Amino acid sequence: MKQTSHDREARDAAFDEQVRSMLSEAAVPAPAASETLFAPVATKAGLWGKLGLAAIGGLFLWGAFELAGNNPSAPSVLTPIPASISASPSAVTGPSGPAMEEGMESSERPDKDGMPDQNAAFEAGGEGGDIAPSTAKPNLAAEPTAVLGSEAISASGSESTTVAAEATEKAALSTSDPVSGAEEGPRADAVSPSPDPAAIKAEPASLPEEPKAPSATQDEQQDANQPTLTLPLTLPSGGGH
Amino acid sequence: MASSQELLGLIEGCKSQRPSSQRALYTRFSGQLFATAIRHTNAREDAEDVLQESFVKIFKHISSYREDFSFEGWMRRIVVNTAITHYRRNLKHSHHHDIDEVHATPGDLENKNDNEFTASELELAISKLPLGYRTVFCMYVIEGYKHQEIADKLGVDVNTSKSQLSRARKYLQNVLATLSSRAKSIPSMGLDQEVDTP
Repeated sequence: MKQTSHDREARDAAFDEQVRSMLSEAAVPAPAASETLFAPVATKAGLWGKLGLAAIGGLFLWGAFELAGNNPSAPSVLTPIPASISASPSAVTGPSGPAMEEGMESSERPDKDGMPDQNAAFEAGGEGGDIAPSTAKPNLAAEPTAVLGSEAISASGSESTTVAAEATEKAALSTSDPVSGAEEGPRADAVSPSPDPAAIKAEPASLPEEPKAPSATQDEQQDANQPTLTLPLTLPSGGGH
Repeated sequence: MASSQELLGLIEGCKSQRPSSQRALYTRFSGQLFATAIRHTNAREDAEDVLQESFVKIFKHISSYREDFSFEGWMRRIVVNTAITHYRRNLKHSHHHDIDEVHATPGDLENKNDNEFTASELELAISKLPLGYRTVFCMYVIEGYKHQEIADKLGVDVNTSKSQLSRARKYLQNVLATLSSRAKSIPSMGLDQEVDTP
């Protein structure tokens, strides 16, 4: 029987339909998909989460460093800080670099030029300006943590004290208890600047400029005759012996 | 219908980029789509690559799917397009063969009963086709493409698509007629010659 084109087309169409019906629903066991296929959003969320945690951690560390930088120690808890020291920014941050070197150099010299001014400021801030300089002088040196943080004191040479001054210092420590001192004098005076205008005016001008213009005075000559004691730079905090 | 509602839920979940819905969709359709990928590639490894790449596209573009079309057909088109891209990418690295030496005898076909071959035998016979012919045959017969679409996608002439479809169909009819008579061996596919791509 001769096959016509119409028959052939019909047979092809039937064949196509049979193939389509057999294979359109055919399935082959597929390989397991990789997990990366299903987690584009989770990956992005994880990335943002990690970035957020890193930012929070960075802020925490920054805050911790800021707190540590602003409060290297807590001397005010132990002893009342004189107004002249607590008001100075260098008393908070402490000396560094050239200022520290200058302070070390000046501490090796028997330079006492800055002491009267500091004593006056200390008297004004801590004791209301009624105490004589002879009693305030060892009390300032007996404030180890405050001295460490103070550029003014280190620059003025107050770290090099005499043995005699140390003896009086101990005597002053025994009397200048931080708590009792706060009770004796007005607490606001110990924290806030002294109401004495002379002390306020003398404080900012004298303290930073003292290391640059050392001069031999009578105090210096007196101290030069005495053996000097150089205090270590890292004194233990905590005050009182 | 519960299955269609479930499918709609899966689609919505995939549109929301929910990994659980994506996993469920992959589990449900990966078998069919992998079979489609196998038919349009030369090796199982290539089919795995095509399947993976296709699901990436499905999950990425599922928001553009319109529900008035068959979702399975939409996914199969993505697989076929991906396979064609994969085929073109590897075109210069592969050798292509003709099926000129396949001799389909009308007598064999006339004696053949349509239901005497199985799906696996049909799959086996299709897998023996050169890739170009196989692609044209599967696109036209199984996926429902027109010759013009096939020509556009494969970058060939429309007449080339028609001729290759005709020759592939004849070959398969001959092979399946032979299988229907329970021939144990598949005849030579005429893969000795290297000819033009479809």
